[in-house]
Amino acid sequence: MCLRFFLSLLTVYTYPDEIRIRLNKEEAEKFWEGFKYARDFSKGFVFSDYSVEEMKNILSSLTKEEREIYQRILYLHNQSPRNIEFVKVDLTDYKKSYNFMRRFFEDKIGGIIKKSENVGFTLNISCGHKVGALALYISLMEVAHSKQFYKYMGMRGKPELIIDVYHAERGIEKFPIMHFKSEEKTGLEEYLKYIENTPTLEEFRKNTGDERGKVIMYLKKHGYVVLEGNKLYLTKRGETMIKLLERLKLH
Amino acid sequence: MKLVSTLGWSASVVINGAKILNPDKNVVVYGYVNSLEEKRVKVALEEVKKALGEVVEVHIENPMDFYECTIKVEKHLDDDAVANITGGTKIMAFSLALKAAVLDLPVIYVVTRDNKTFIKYLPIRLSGGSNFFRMNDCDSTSARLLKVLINKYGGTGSMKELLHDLNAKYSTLSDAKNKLVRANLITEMKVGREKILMVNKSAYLFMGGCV
Repeated sequence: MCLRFFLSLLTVYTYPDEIRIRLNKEEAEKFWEGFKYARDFSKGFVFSDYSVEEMKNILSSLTKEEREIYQRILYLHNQSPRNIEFVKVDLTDYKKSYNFMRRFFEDKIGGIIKKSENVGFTLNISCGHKVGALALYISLMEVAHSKQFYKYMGMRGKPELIIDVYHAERGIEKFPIMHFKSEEKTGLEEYLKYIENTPTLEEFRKNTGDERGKVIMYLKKHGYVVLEGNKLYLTKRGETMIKLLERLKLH
Repeated sequence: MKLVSTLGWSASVVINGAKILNPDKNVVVYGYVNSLEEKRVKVALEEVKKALGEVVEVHIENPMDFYECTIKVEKHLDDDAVANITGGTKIMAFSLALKAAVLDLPVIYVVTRDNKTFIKYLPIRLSGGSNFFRMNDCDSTSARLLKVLINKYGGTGSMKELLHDLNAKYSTLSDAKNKLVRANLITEMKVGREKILMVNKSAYLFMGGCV
């Protein structure tokens, strides 16, 4: 027996032109295609920019056709036996989405596996905003591949963690279940500017206070610098990162 | 810097991204699934070319095909590449984002708020750690298994043949195989008494590296 969750995103488009109706129809179609593929599940969660009430308010100003399309989906909210819950989260902001969903998965997986039950996630990433979908995907991958839970993947017997990620639109396209993670920049990339004039290792350490070599190790690991003889050189990656950081700072 | 951007209906997410980052080269990845989309995407592409001048165009025949998207973007992800995943289909954007993450290249997206454009950095990477397969380590059994399966057997091969080709212990190969199955990169089937391995589309995320 496995406690399976269906997860999807959902948005409603509010552009003023006619293309909006087509987009909303497609959004609903993708949702249903993903829902049908998931088949039997114990509980569902739909992550959306809007709460159910907010979505109903928006729909009241759209066409009858759009209202009907979404009403069928909203009807699923808290209805047995599927028991789908709509959860509001800012899907246009990666960081906000990721932080929210990370905690969500830790709570859910941890809560169930502790009771020695099998748990499964069927994740449909075809709806909603790209960055929200990416945040949902990355947060699930990160939690599933954590020290705490990775051992349950592919395990024979209880408890097992089963994950299925797909894009549902004119067919099902499966995604890898891999050890991706979200890792904010450490700030160590800022030290790249000290390498622009090709210093020796000693000069770099003196200028940056990196006596233990932690900074250099990080920069070398990510391919930003190479050490030739006793001189440090920026690689193409390093030059690109410097330029990117400068541009990000300005904007 | 080379900016590799996915393009859909909105030219501005590519144009604004390029105007802020000021790359030396722009690569625009686009595709469409029907004639209506084709019209809109081509209009957007013309707008991009008008605003940015010379761009490298990468046309995806089927923007719903993870394999095609991954193979085609991979060719443009060099050490000086930055990936802009704001436009295009989700599959195009995901394939670009995940491939860039595998290669440890920066990924950004463009946000417009109150008529201002912001570039946001997407902090996604592939984890290290000995528990996972090391696809960027060409000597790892997982990388070698995938390489032989794709290059020698065209994507489908038996465990028996692979064992012989890789000259590995059964337990080592089995461990590598299990990691790849768990990652949904390969599928395992039994045909009679033989175990057959088949490459999934998502495995092509690793083409161009060790595979």
